[in-house]
Amino acid sequence: MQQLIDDLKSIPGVIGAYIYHPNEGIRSNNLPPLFKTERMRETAKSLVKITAAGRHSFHDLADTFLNFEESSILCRQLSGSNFVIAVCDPEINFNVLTMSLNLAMEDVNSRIAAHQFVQAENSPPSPAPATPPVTAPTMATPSPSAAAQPSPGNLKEELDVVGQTLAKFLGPMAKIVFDDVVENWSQGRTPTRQDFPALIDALCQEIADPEKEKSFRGMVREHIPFAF
Amino acid sequence: MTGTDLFSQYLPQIKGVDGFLVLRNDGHILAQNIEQAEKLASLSALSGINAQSIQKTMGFMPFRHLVFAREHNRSLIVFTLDKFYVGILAKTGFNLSDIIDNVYKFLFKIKIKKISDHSPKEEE
Repeated sequence: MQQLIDDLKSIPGVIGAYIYHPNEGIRSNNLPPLFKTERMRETAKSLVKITAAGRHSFHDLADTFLNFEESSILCRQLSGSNFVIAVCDPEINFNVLTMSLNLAMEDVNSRIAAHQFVQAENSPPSPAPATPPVTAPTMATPSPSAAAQPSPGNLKEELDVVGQTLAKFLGPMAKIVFDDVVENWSQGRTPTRQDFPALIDALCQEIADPEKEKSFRGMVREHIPFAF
Repeated sequence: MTGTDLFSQYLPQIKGVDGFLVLRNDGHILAQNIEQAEKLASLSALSGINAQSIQKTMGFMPFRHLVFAREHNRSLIVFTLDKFYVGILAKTGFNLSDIIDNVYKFLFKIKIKKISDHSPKEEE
């Protein structure tokens, strides 16, 4: 959750954000100190009321956006009754903001997926995931791994992690790039774990930025050591 | 032409506007051209009141509008105009920012008209 609001804060025009749960109060916060906790809590209560009223009329409500003369607020209900609330400049582009929030949520989900993958590798399978994924109700960009075709052999989970990691660097284009590279990589054979370094090299060529390549390799290495 | 006539005549002409309702801040509808107007009027009034409550709590400048954004359906935009709210159902596929800008231009004209209608010169 902290990662999500930190990603949000990095968007130009976003002053800060916080996560609110009706029963547990403010769970994460990166707004400047001038925003007092009690006021933020009261504001969140009002936003929850607005969202609840909105959902009563619109079952597919995605976001609620409030505009004031010198500021604006975006509120989105996440899974598990959590709400993410972002305080922004009044002139912020609503479409850009919601799309950025979707991408930030995908990023968080991919981290959760990668974390769960590592946990699954290191421990016996558990009946339910420890951390629920964060749902992105609007304009969600499909994760490249979700539709990664083909999914050679029994490497689907590893490919999911690589695809989700790639999405952090290439954004919406990641799906197209990833599918193409995996198709070439697996053509005429069934790849094994030993073939992963070649896949990572091919994806790095597509990233085409030395610093980003380095970060990408680092993030993949963190979860799939045998890829190197 | 009355104020409500102005809304009925001009709001539907704004590009991207699928329907509208004008209501007092107590939820009483003054003009509308949409289905389920009562339901959306209640939503508009309730959300407007809560938005103004947030304004006071946070010490923000005046509330201007709020958007109930939906993925594949008509979004609802609620504007505040003195002691009234104006709800706009936006057609899908239209840029909400453009619709909001155009509605503001119209509301600005309404305000100007209201001021001129009550100017001392005209009262004389």
